[in-house]
Amino acid sequence: MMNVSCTPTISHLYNSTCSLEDNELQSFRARAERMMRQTQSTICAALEKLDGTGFTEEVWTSPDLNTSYTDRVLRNGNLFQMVAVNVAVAQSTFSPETARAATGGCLKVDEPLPFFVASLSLVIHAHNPMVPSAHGHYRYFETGCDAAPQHWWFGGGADLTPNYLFEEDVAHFHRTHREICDRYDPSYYPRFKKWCDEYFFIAHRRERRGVGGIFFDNLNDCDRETLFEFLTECAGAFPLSYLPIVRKRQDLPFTERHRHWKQLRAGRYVEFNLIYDRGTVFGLKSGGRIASVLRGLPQHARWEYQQIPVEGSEEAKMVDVLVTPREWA
Amino acid sequence: MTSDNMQRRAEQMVRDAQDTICQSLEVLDGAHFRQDLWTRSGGGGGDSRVLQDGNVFEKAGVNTSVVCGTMSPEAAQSALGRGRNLPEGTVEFFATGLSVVVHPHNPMAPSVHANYRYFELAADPTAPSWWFGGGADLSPSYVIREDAVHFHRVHKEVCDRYDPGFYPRFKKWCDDYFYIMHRGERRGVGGIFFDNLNDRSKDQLFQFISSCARAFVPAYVPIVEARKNLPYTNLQKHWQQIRRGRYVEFNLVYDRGTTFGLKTGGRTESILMSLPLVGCWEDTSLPDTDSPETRTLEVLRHPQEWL
Repeated sequence: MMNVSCTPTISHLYNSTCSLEDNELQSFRARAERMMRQTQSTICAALEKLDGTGFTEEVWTSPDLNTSYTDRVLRNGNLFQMVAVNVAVAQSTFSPETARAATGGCLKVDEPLPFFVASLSLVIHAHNPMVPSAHGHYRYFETGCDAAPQHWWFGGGADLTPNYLFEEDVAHFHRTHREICDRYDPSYYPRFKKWCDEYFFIAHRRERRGVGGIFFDNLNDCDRETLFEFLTECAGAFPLSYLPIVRKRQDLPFTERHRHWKQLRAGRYVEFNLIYDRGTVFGLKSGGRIASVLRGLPQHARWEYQQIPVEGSEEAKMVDVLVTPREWA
Repeated sequence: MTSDNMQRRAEQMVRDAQDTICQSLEVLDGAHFRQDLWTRSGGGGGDSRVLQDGNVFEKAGVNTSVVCGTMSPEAAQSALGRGRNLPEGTVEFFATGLSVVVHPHNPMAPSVHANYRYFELAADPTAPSWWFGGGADLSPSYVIREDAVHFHRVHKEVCDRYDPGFYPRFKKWCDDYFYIMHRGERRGVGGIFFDNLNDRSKDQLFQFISSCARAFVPAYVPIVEARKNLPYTNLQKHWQQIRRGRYVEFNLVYDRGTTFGLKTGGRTESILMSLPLVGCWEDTSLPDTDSPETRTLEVLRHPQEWL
């Protein structure tokens, strides 16, 4: 894996964009970016160790120099089909339309608005159909000038998408996230768990993409330091919530039937991402870096006409949970 | 709604075309379509026919539907799409259409899509709006020039019988419509596409889309016959699946029929019947420069005049 400790932070490159100087505030952007990069390294190291295959890093800067992507991808590993752990840092200006689109209508502005975002996102798809896919994203958002932010918030979450239901795996994933949430606010987990179930709803299928986890956005109802710590802990907990599940399922035997079902579920994953996922739709329509935006898609997806699992089968048990979410922790 | 019998005639036309197309594809494949009749709670229903895992076709779907009822002013506006002022409250509508999507196994045999429909919207009950829409387009994984030329020529001949202006307009419309913006490429090599067609007599336009629908078999079947047994490699099959991933991207992100249908509670299984059996996303690098794959991409990035 490439050493990234010398990568300059984009927040530093842009110190001159605002006339006001306020080191304290500027450093928050830099700290957010640093946290994303450090967590990226920690997560990649843990996944690399488990898989035995290294990540390759692709660094890309948008032509206007406003956005930098650091994508780390592991392809065709021993356990993982594809893992992408990406950091994106953008410092640019929102038009009123993109502000609305990027924030799902939460941000309404009348004139161009400078913004900053540092984000970490990860997607994991494994070879073995018994190993669930997982997704996580963590970001810090700020509008206004570097030195005089008008508005800031955090967004993030992690969710699990199994092909087959192992209740203890789902419970473990939720419990890990619940424990962090509870340390900050007892209302977080119930709210964010429900938010996750709602967000990953594939309306035209009347089912969720997976068994959820936590999801939150526009989080700014507490002081910034505390929320930053919360986000850092959530991101840091991702390996703990997911890797034990991989270890437990990676060697389970599977047949053609299981692989086939996995591809059908992958088809639903594609439907969700391309139709409903705000980040994907926004990325595609706003000219984002396509390789990064679509990297979350599974490698092989399948669509069959009216594929309905046999009642009582393992596949049907999975779908039941996707149709009617349960409480897990 | 209207006193003429266009609703009935259009419905009959799409049903006849469905039978003819299914028969030709069955003869070619040797396997049979499975028929699925469904009804729509708001009024009307459809006839979905699917052939999956056949000898020649990985997946083929030939649908007809006849739906009527009321739609919200917003949905009507979106269907009409021409900035007309609609009255308050719900609007009565009638729509009948045929849609065909075929994805062969062999990567040298192109996928095809066709759709022909008649629409009435009674925004003003005394003078309902009506229009025809449709088109046919070819999506090869490997562009074979003579196939694209044949497909375009058959459709141009039909167009030219009605209006010499049709083919150039509808060919361009097709290239514009099937644009996958985020990839900077078209879904395929096009064909014809038109919508909101009502600028001449209803009867004339009905004859036109009937001829278009009849042209489907001669435009497509000879191409598959010529390509279905060509040898191919794993790499070529893989490239086909990558191209089918792009097909999925177009349909789910840009296709108005798909997105409108899914978001207004249409019948999901029928709407998504158009998706290929398998789509592949592997962000591996592109094939070498000047390979058959890059030459195909070149055409998809820069639409050609085929005739």
